[in-house]
Amino acid sequence: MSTFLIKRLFQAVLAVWIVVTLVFVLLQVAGNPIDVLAPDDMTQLQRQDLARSLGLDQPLHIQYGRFLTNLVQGDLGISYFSRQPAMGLVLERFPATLRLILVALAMALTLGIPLGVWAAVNAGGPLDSALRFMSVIGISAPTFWIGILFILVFSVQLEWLPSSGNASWQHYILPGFTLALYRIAFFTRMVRSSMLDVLSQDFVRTGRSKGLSERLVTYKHAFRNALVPVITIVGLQFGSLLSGAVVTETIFAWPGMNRLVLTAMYNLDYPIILSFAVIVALLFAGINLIVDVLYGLIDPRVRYG
Amino acid sequence: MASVSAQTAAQQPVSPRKRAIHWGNLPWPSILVLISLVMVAIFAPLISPHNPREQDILLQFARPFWRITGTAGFPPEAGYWLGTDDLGRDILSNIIYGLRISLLVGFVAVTISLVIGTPVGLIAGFRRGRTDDIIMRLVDIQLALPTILIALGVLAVWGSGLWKVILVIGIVGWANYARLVRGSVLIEREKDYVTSAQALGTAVPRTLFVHILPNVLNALLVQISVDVPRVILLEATLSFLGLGVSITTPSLGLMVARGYERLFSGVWWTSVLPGVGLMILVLSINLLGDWLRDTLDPRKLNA
Repeated sequence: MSTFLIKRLFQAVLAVWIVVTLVFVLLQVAGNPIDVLAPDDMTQLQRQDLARSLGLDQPLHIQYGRFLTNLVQGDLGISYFSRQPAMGLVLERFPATLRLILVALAMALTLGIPLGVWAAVNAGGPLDSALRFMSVIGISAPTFWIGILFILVFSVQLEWLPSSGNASWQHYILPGFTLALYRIAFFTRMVRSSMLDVLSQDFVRTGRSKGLSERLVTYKHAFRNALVPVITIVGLQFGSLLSGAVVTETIFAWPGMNRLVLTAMYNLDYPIILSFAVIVALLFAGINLIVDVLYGLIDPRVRYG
Repeated sequence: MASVSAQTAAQQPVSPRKRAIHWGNLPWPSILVLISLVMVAIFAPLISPHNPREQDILLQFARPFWRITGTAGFPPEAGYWLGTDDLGRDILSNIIYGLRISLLVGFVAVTISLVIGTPVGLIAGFRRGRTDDIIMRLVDIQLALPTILIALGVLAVWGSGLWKVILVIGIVGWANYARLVRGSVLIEREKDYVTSAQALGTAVPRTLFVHILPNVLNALLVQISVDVPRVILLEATLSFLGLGVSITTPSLGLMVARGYERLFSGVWWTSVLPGVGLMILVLSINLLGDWLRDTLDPRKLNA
């Protein structure tokens, strides 16, 4: 177990380093942020001063070296625009994004898993078909459009729910559901097919043949096993939730880090983009690690090799 | 999905004929919808009632035909069936041209992914060993990164535009194909026909493309049917966020974004209707894809 963890940790660090380096290289290809920052009437000398103050006058390998050294210390420079530490700015907005993602994930799991089991238990019937068609609609609907529909119906027409900000719990409903909708549909499909796979296995037949109730077989024996692939998918969905959050945060004026980085992308605010990349890479590495460990806990057949 | 096979398997042996494609089994509704949308996109200049770029500020925010009451809005005789946007452009015509863009992005970008990913996967699976390790590690990293964030980053620094969007989405999508093809190659290469081909002195590229690739086609087709709608939505999302196609391109995502700005002043049709078009397109491809998956590949690919 511990060698497994160490090996995995090493891989995680490696992945983070690769991602961060890629982003660094990409940003170098991107163009000179001085062009964006400097007012048109700035003299050449002033531009050089500005470049020096931001450390952009140094050769690339020095910039990269300094970037890595600072990275280890959690310092990724100062935002070119707000003149505040970039990592701090991103971290400050991280909880809002995380809360949104977790709310959406909770909604998706509490609705998606039961719907999937329900569909599997009724496989082939009209209920299954209906759920199936609804889930195809769910994965086909563009997230941004769903968000707009929700705003139109629940904020503009009915005036039930707020459409921007995150001041109260009501503020979580529309963005959370917008982000969750695709995943509800996705989990429904996923759990359904996973359940059906398990229900056709020998141990289920054994359970039935020794007279266990259908209820016990389905919900205790089969369901637990059907959850194994779901855990991996939840881990993978985290990335898609983060991407989805870019759109959701934009539509609902959510004060999260995705909206911050989107603005930074328009402005070529490198430190912010880099800080964001670091946080995302760390999140991914961490979640993959958790998923691997959970996998082993739930399914003892998985050996930590 | 696995469902049907699992259920029938328990009751009766599945004959090979059961999996053959019959005309009656085809998902006709989605096929017909998809064909009509493709036709509409191809013949857009003939079908669309107006030039999608034609502006007439006097016709701003005309209502769609079912919402015209009294003098408010403009009679659909003028051909503004779905109303007009903030610049007085015909929404129906813009949706028709938008379908063109969506389909173009979907098919060209997926082709790019396929062209990059397939050979890489073939090589990884056939060479195995170190080549395979390196390629698969790259695949893992690529798959772990959220596509939309990469695309946003690249487009933000590289500038936006239709072909750039297509290229970026296409390149970023290689990993799925590489992984899929590699997996199938690993299975296929152990089979007798490959050993025979090798023993007969068939060159490796020939073995790969002529002997192994055809056996991977079903799985590829299923992956394509999943990817095309995904890519179409991705372009729409990028354009919605303002980093996709240029603002003069009639993209459905861009139209929704423009309409979104007017949402609170009661003008809903400029953002909602293009989204409906987008959703019908994606839905019909997804339904077709579901059917393909059930028919071609009930076991290998879930979810």
